Amino acid sequence: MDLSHGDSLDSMEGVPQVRAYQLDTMISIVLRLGVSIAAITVVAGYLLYLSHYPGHAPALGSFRMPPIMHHRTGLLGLVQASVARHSGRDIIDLGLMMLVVTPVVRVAFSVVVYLYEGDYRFVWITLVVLTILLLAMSGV
Amino acid sequence: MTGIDFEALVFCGSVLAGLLGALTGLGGGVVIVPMLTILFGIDFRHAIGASIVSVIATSSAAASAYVREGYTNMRLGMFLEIATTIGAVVGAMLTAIIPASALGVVFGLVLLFSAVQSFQQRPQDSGQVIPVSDTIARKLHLYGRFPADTGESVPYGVRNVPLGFGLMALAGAVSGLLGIGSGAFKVLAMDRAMRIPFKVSTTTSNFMIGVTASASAVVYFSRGYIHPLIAGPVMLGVLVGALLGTKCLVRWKTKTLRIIFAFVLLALGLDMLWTSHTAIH
Repeated sequence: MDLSHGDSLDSMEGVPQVRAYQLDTMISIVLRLGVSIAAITVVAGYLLYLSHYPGHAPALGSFRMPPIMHHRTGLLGLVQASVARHSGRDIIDLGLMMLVVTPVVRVAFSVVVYLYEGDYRFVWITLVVLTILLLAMSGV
Repeated sequence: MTGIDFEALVFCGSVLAGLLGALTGLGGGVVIVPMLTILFGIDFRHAIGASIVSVIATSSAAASAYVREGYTNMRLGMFLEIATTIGAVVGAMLTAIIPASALGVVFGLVLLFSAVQSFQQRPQDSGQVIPVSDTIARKLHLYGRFPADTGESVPYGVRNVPLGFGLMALAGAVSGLLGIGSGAFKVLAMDRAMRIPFKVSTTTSNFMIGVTASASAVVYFSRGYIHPLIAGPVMLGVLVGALLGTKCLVRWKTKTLRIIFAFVLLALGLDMLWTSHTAIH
């Protein structure tokens, strides 16, 4: 993908159109990919669940803590717990987690794009956001 | 009610949530939580878990379209995300100290008051005003262009960045404390303080709310608030609704969107007052 560094030097008022357009397109693609993969996973998990329990009504009125997730914190622990048991419900969980991670991937991706464009002020800005996010997600 | 019937109804309600969320930049929580708790008798914790999933789904699906169409101001959004993420973390820490119910009453009233004002068209919506930006906005190139109702690409300025940044931190803290309403304060901060066009305010808010929500979602996952059989159909429905919403926002006049926004804000304010009144933790 060509990010045309040659045009960027003579920018009169900030971000030239070409670069802004390409960043837009790439962020748009990242978001759509994340959402699509997550949605496909949730649908697959749901179909698997239905094939195991045809017409089964889930007990949804009550709330109870999931036993496995008690002592696991952070995103990695959650994913491990989900993959360890492989039923349709866990595949749905996995799809939901992919969705949850999509905005974080978007931020991480924009760090790389700003770095590539040489927009160091925004590299720092997006890095700060990414750091806060990852700290909050790791359960600190 | 069998499992499939329940899931189909939740899916349909979620389409509406995604549609409204994408049109207003407020996320879908205002529809999801009352629908699940009042209509289906779902536990409040499962409802807010599904609601946070709906916010991320709306944000990501709609943003992918709005960014491409040139409405979202990504630079402004990413800059303000510093304020909202720090605010959200601080807000979550303060839950033990600040009584959320009292705070909910205050912010619920603020939303009701803002809803009344939101009906009015503001000068920047037309794109006919001379774009004025403050020093920080000029330095960071936060101003931009957007497709006005007339169809042409119009430049706009961004004003009062320090005030907007402060309000965004507050918006983050409110969402950390109350779990709802982060989008409302984001749109209001951009619309009122920073004076950017309404469609840019709502789409940029929509772009930002997913990031704030994703941090909370991990906590909700570990507490077991996100139930796959509730959040799953909610997510799929919201995605469909959000994609429909983006088609509408592009075509509809700003005036129409302001009216929808005002009514959703009204509902959100009442919801916040009601939640604070019942005070479930």
